[in-house]
Parts: sequence; structure tokens; C-alpha cells
Amino acid sequence: MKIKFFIVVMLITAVISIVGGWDRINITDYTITTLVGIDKIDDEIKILLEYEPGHKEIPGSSTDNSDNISKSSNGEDSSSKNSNNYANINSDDILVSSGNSLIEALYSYQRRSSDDMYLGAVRSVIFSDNYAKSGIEEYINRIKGEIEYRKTVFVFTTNTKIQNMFDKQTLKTQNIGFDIEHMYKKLINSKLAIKSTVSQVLEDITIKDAGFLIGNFDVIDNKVEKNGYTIFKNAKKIGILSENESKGVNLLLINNCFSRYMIQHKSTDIFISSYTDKFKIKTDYTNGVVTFDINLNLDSDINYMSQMINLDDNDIKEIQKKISDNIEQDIIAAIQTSQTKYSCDYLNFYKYFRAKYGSVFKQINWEEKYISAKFNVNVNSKIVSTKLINYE
Amino acid sequence: MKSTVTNRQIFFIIFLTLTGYSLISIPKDAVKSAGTGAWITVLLLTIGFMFGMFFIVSLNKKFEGKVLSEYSSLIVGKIMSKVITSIYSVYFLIISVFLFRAVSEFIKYNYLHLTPLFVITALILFVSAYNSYKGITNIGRICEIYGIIYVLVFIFMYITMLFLGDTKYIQPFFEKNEIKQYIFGVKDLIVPFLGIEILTMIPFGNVNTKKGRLYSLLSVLFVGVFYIMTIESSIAIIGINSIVNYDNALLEAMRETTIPGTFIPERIDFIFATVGIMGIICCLSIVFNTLSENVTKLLPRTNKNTIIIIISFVILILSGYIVNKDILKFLLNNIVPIYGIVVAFIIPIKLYIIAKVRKL
Amino acid sequence: MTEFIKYKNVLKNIENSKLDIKKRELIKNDKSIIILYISQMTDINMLSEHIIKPITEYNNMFKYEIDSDYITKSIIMNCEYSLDNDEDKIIEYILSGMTVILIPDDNKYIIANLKNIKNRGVDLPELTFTLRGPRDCFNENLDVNLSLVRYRIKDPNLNVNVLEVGRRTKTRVAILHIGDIANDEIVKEVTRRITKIDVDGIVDSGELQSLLLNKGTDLFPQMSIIERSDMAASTLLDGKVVILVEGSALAICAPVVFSDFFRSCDDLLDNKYIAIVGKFIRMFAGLLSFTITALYVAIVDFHIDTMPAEFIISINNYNHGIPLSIFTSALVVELIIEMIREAMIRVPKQIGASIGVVGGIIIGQAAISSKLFSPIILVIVSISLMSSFTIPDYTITNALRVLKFFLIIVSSCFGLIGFVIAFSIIVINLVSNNSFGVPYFAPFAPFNYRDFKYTIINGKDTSSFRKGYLKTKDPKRANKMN
Repeated sequence: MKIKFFIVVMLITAVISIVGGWDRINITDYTITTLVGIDKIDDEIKILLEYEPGHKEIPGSSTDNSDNISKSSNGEDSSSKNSNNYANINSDDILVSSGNSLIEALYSYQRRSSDDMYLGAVRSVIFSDNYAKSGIEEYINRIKGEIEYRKTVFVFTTNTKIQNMFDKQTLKTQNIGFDIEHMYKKLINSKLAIKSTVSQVLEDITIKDAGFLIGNFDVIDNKVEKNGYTIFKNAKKIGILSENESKGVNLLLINNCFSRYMIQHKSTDIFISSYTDKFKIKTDYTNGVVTFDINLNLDSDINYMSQMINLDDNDIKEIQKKISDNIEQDIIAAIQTSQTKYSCDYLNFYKYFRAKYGSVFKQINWEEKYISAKFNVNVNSKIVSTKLINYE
Repeated sequence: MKSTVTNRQIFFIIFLTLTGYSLISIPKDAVKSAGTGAWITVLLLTIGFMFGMFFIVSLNKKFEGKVLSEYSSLIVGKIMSKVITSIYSVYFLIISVFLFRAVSEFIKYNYLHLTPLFVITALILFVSAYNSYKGITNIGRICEIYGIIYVLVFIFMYITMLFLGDTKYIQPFFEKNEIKQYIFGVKDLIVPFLGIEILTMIPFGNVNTKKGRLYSLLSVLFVGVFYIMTIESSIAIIGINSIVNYDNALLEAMRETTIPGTFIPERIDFIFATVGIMGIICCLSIVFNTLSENVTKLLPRTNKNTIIIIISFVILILSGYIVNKDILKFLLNNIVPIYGIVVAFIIPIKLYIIAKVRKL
Repeated sequence: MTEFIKYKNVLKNIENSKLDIKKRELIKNDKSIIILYISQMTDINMLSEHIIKPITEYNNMFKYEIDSDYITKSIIMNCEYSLDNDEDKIIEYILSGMTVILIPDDNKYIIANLKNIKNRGVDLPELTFTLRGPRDCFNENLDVNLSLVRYRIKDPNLNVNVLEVGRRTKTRVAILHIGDIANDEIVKEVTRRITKIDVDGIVDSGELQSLLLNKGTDLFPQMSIIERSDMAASTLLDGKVVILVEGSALAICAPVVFSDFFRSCDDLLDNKYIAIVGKFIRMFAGLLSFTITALYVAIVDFHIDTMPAEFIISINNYNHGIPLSIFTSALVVELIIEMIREAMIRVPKQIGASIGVVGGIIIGQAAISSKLFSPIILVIVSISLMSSFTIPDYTITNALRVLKFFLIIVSSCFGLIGFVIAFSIIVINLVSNNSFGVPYFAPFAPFNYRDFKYTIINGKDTSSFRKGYLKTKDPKRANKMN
């Protein structure tokens, strides 16, 4: 009886192991996509994909990638790349497909590539200026629906032509997706940039009365560089913030933000870096008016002076006051830009309001209330000499 | 008295039966019915089910070594006892069909997309039937080992998710205007708490007399706390508005968490594929075992192994071919909660009262 | 010479048979005392000096009749003797190595123990190594083994129960236990199972072990082997039963639980904290040895998106151009490793070194450069092989080797889900096993905090109690520390 049972089990195991494994994926049959770019030109949508081909180790060839890059140049010089000519970008590592709608563009690359595309390793998604203005919600929802696609993928926009982002030869890099992602992760770790991933964008899109921010990368002097933020409302681009304007934004949105200031004091320039120590926002809603009280405590550190002078207690107090004033101005400028210029709450103040007045938030029109909201900013900065250098 | 379980095993059996499958879907149900104050609803339900558990455990303690089908014949007579046992059998059959189908669908749509549904159902049926064939003591030991790993891993996950998420999403904790919504949300969250009735088929031995009741009640309390942690940490990662779109909210929340560090895998939902499935296996084995024990008491002359094989085939056919999505939804929303309350509350309370009156 | 009427049949049988039994006659007053022995199993010097010489001297000096009582108590100088009057047992005694002295006009005959069976000396251990512990291990002679145990435990409660097993071999089997510690039920069960055995013969303790198993599955061993005498002594002090088999160099002990297979005697002799680390490493290595290949196959075939992107790209590069799929290559490499493992046992020592070189070159270098296998799978399989050698008791690695293939097949069909399900089936099997009534997975399930602490930590504070799941009579050790 037992032997019969075992024979049956062995038969079933043998059958399943040969026939089964329906979901086995052979990763060597796929090429791995690392960067996705989307552009819109005159009602036509173009998708650019950068991928890592699996057949790098062809017997007889070197593993050095410079062959690939030189092959992809097609003998054209870099100036012609700045035109709308997409054909020059198609190479070993980059694929372009186009279509009249997103769906058509998405599936035309299946007809153009020799291998299946594997989307589980995509590093970041870049939207061009035109596509961002027409609305990014469709592609974000596609990312939500596809299981392989990670929702921790970074989302960026670019103001320069998107073909320049994918120009490996000019940028002199092996893999653009890795470069951009490492750069942004480094900025996040150094508390210099906000997190803009797909999961956050998905949640922010659901609030119709408020907007959100996405990081912006541009190609400046043949190198990719982070250049401010892009403002979105209803998932459509309404404006940009340059690096200078985004100082206040960073202070409001990043935990333990890191900022640098230059203070002029008694004929020297003092270079100061500060970390946010305490950050509290209190909100109040009386008589239909929303009030926000922002309290910010910072620990500052004097990095260096252009000319060494001695500082006594009064000097330090003055410097602290100057730092606090500078920071206050930045914050107030950022808030005023959002209230007056763009009339959109992209600084996520609605979260603080909703955390206290959840049911009220559902009934009011947050956009109107935000434009007429009052802000009280209170900044205190303290100089903590972390490097044990005494300036007295 | 060979088939006894220790107190610690009872704790884990109840815990894993309740949370095994419902953990995935509870954030969505809770937020849909009660918003950010869902923890109040869960707390109310915990207290209610602790109340119901008290009666079941007291009956078990009074009639030591006997299960419901045996001591109910002492209380209300043989014919009523058979009726009660058949009520319980039908209930557990419905629950088993629903559970096996739901778990197979969950595995198919999240991990194994192309595998046929009946193969997955057959696989998990085999494990549950094998576990049930070995007896309740064995199931208790397995729940002990798996339960500890399950609890530790998930609590670590929740703490990480709370730290990495945005705590502004889970506020406001309490709003006076929404009290009605909190209380009326109770009716949507009954199904995750159904499972305490499996204790009717687990006999208490002399090791359980002293602290058995305490451990069972503690277990239900711990389940409530666990559910609250699940809901809050899922909301902190995903956000209060998007969470109602996901049927498997906890899994999505795990997919969206990135633990900082270069040597740790980026997507941590494989933790659910290992540890979560351990909990699901325990839950399914316990339900299957209860069903087979009930049917064995109904047909005392048949061999237990034959009954297990027949039940497996019945569940395989029912969950694969006969039940489709509409019937499942109808069952889940309308029939199962009411049936569950009858089976978990009304019948044990009635039996307890009759036993007290008759001074048994 | 008077005829030996009484034992006539026996003597005739001996003469007609081809048993090679030697006969020595000593005549006195026309009556002869006959000494029967087998020369290969008897110490001839002791026979001449202690038995033949004194009897002959007495016969020459005195003329009185002697009987068996007088001979045994006053004449022969041998230490061990006994008296019997059963005619049918004479040949049995001679065949087991005893010397039988037949006395005329006496009912009883003398059985003297002058056994001198050739055996190996006490050797170094070959299966269970130790860094710091003693190294005298058992050999094939039952008396030598008993002496090795007896010099360590001088307790008057040490019970030695010798039984005979096998119709033709009549192998002596000794059951040892300490009377006021060991659980009586376990001892009774062991004795009952041994007495119930009815076979032609057993030649080794392994055969005896296979006859003592439960009716259930045989994959996991329910008794463990003991090679060294100090391990036997500490096992007896724990409250277990040790079984010595004549002709076998390995003793077996019962009951045994799963965590005992990971215990090495160095834990007791070394620092407490080093012992804990060593134990964790051994248990982790044991788990790794049979799960790592299955995990690799499951993750790379089904769940590769959990890995970082650089890893995905590197796997893509390494596996490109390899004809076998990951599942097939894992199976093939595992089979090759099992073949090497079998070969290592049987190869003579002179050729052994070259096997290592050949294996390394073939499997290592050539396989990779010829693109037959990917280097990652070779690393994984060799980790699995190395970690299986950390388990002190080799009998359980055999079970794990077989289960490894089961895990690989199921996880190649269903991914991590299949891995968990197959693992659960194995755990269910383990947990439901029992070894002579003791649950196999104690102290993990059913959980007992004190036993759990003793399993993980061996120290002065925990070793004052014996293990609770053995239900010994005397749970407390004498442990008064200042």
C-alpha cells in the first residue's frame, strides 16, 4: 500500500517537473531595461528605452564597452544630435518607438526589439517638457497596473531635449539610468533633494486640490545635472522652480534638511552649513481662515571665512540672527510663490491640515483656503561649533 | 487523551487561524468603512469576540476531554447534537471552499501568473490534508514553530514600515463627528475575526485547565493589536486615498518599501511569499482539520483517512469549477458574517446557558 | 579407559562433525577428564597453566576422586567459571569460545572462560572528531567496549543487560543504562523490541538499528551512533540507553531528538560562549546545506525582481550562452557532487589526493570555460557541500541529501511558494516523528523553556537539570557550586 502511494507520488512529481514550471522565466531571454523616457511631438508619443543587452560577451570580442559606443555613433557628430532626428539614437543600447497614443507606442517596441523587455530593473522614468504639460497620469497608472514595474522607481522631468539625455556618446557614460539614479540617491542621502517616486506621485494625484513636485534633470555642458523642481497640478506641468527658488522648498519638505548660506559680516564672507533640528507646523482653522505656525530650529556650523577674523559673543549673535533672517526669507518666498504665482499647494501643507481637521478637509475647497491662508514663520538658528574650532 | 495541545499552542493556533488570510485584505476593508479611525472599529470587534470566546472556552473547560459534538449530546440530546454538528460541518465547508479559492487566487494573481488554478489548489490541499492526517497535536506543534517566526518577522516589518512611511497619513486618530462611521463599520470587519469557533473541536486536557482560558483571550487581544499595526503601517506607506484601490494592500505596501542599504534585496515582498505563506498554510490546515473532525463525528463508522481524501476532492471540485466570482462575493458579504455569528456566538452561548441551568 | 557413558552422544557428535573442536584427556584412576575447546578462540597458555597443569598435578599427588565442585573451588586457577548440567548446551558453549571440562560420574560440567579472540586495539576515532576531548573509541570486542565504559562510570546503578540476538550468529547485545536515572518505560520498550527480533543473524549495530525502528517513515534516524567512550558515558548520564553490539565498532543510543545530531562534545569542554556560536553555525549550516540550491533556483527562475538591478544584469551576463536551464544545471551539478561524495568513501588513500585535483580541475576550471555551467551554480553547490560537513553526526546528512532533490524539483515548478510548501511537508514529517515515545522535535515543539535553554547553552547554570522530555527518574544532577 505504501509502495503504491510512493509510486503515484513519484509519477506526479515527474509529470509536474517536466510539464510544470509555467511561470519559469529564463532571464537570459530578456533584455533588461534601465531607463525609460517619454516624449510628445505634435500628437505623437515617443518612448525611448535604454537597456542592457545580454550578449555582451560575444566570443572573440572584448568586454570593453567602447566598441558599443563607437558603433552607436554612426559617424555623426554631436551637433546634429540636437535636432529632432530620432533615428540616430537607435543603437545597441537604446530603442525608440512611436505611436499615436501611449498604448500604440508601448507595444510597437515589441515589434522592434529582438528580445523581450524586462521591466523589473528600471531605474528611473523621465518625462519631457511637452509630455509633462499634457499630463503624466496615464503613464503613472500604467506603472501601477504592471506587476513587474517597481513602484519605487524615480520619476523625473527634463527641460532640455530628451534625446540629449539618451546620448551616450556625448555624456560619456556606460549606463545613463544607473548614473541618474545614483546621483539622485546621493542627493537624497545628503538631504539636498526630495523623494519623488511613483508611489508618492500615485498618492498625490488623488488629491485634486493640491499639487506635487518632481525632480528635474537637464543636460548642461554635456553632463546631466539636477536643476530644480517641476510643479505639477492635476498631473500636468504648470511651472518650474530653479535651484535658487528651491531652497525654501527643501527646508519645508525634507526631514533634517541641509542648507548652506553665505553671510557677510564685518568685511568677511562667512560660509555656514546648517541642519534642521526641530521642525513643527501647527495649524488652526477659525472663522473659515486657515493659519499655519511654522517653527524651525537649526543647528549651524561655520565652515570657513574668506578672511579670518575673531568673533566674540555679540558677533555670533548677529550672525545667528542673519542666518535666521535669510532662512525666513527663503521660506516666505517659497510660500508666496506657491500662493500667488501658481495658486497651488505643492508644498504639502494640506497634509498637516488634514491630520488635524480630517472631516473638515473633505468638505472645503482647499485651493481657495490655501490661497488665503496665513503663515507665521519663526526661525531660530544656533551656532554649534562642531569642528571644535574656536573663533575667539 | 492523546490529542491535546498545550496552552502556548492554543495561543498560536487561534492567532494564525484568524490572521492567516485576512491580513492581506484588512487594510482596504478597514479604511473603506471607517477611514483613519479604523483602529477603534477593530478594538470594538476585539472586545466583542473576546466576549464570545469566553463562552466557548468555558464550555471546553467544563467538559474536559470532549469536543462540541460530544458534550452537546449531553446537554441537548443526541438528535439536536447531530443537527448542531451538521450546522458546523456545512459552515466549515463553506469557509474552506472560500478560503482555498481565495488563497489560490491570491497566489495566482500575485506570484504564479500562468499556473492553472486547480494545480495551486491541489498543492495547498495536499499540505493541509497531510497536516490534518497527522492530528491536532502535530498541527499545534507546527503552529508553535511557524507562529513565532511569523510574529517576529511581521512585527519587525511593521516597525520598519512605520518608520519609513509618512505618519501624517494615519492622522487624525479620532474625530468626534465620525463616531457613527466607526461604529457602523463593525459590520464590514466581522470576517477577519471569524475563526474562534475552531476551539469547539479542540479538546482541553488537564494541562489546559488552569490557564487555557487566559491564553485564548490573550490570543484574541493580540490579534486585534496585530490588525491595528497592519492597518496603520499600510496606510503610512501607501496613503489613505490610494489604499482603497488595492485588494491586497499589505502586499502592495511591502512592495513600496525600500530598506536603505546596499546588500538587502530591494523588493521585500518575498518575505510575504515565505513567512506569510507559512501562516496561510497553518490557517488552512486548521480549518481543514476542523472540518474533517466534524464530519468524522457525523459518520462515526467511516475511517478518518477516507474522509480526508473525500473532503479534499470535494473542496477541489467545488472551489475550482462550481464557485465563480459572483457566488464568492455573495457568500462573503452576505452569508458568511451572519452564519459566523450564529456559529461563534449564538450556539455556544445557548449551550452554556442550558448547561448552567441544568447544572451539568 | 572407561567409556564416558554420560556424554557419549555429545562426544560422538563432536567427532563426526567438522567443527574443529579439540579434545584433551586427563586420566586418573582409569577415569578421564575431558577438556573440549576450540584452539582459535582459546588462550592456550592459560589453558595449560591454569587448568591442565593443576589438574594433572593433583591427579599425580592425590588419589581421591574429584568432582566439579572441588575442581572449581580448589584446583583450577581460572577466575571465571560456571557450572551447568544441560547436555544440549555443551556445543553452544564451546562454539562461543568457552572451554568445557567434562568430569566422570558428575552431573555437572565446568564452563571456563579462557577466551582470547583476536581484535584490533583501541583506536583513534574516524567518524566523530574532537579537538579537545579524549580519543579512545570502541572496537569490535564487546568486553573491551564494556571495559571502556565501566572505567568511566563507577556507579553501582549501572545496569548491563546482555541478550542474544540472531538464530545463527547468536550475537551478544549489551543494553546499558543507569538504573535510577533512565526512564523505565524507555528501557522496557528497548528491551521488548530487541527480544522480539527473530532473524538469522545480525553482524553490525546498523542492522540492529534498522530492526528497531518505528513502523513509520525511515528517512530520519531515530537512534544516533556513538564512537567514543566519553560520549557514551555522557549519554548514559543524561538518562539515555546505550546499546553495544558484539562485532560492531559503533554503539547506538536511544532515544534521540533532532537537536542531538548537532551536538558535539566540544561544547561541554570549551568556553560557554564559543559553544553557543559553534552551535548556531552548525544549525545554520545544516539548514543551508539542503535549502540553498532550492532557494537559488526559486529566486532566479521566479522572483528575480527581488534582487538588486546590478545582480540581475550580472546573472544575465553569466548565464548567457549556457545550454542548460538553471534547474537542469542545478540537478546535474548536484548529481556530480553526490557521485564525488560516494567516490570519496571508497577510494583508497593513495589515489584520494588525485581525486581532489581531478574533481577541482574538471568541475571547476574546465566546466566554466567550456560554458557548460555558470560559475554561480558551482559556488552555490559547493557551499551546500561544505556546510553539510559541519554536522557532527553523519547519519542525518544522508537524509538531508535526499530531501535536497525533492526541494529543488518542487521549487523549480512553483518558485518560493513551492519551496515553502515542500519545506512544510518535511517539517510536518519531522515533527510527527517520535523516537521511542519522545517527540522528535523536542524541545522546539512542544516547547519547554528550560530544555530549550539547555539545548542552546551548555553551562553550569543550565546543566544542573537533565532534559525534561526524557522524563528521567532523577531530574536533578548533583551540582553544588560555590
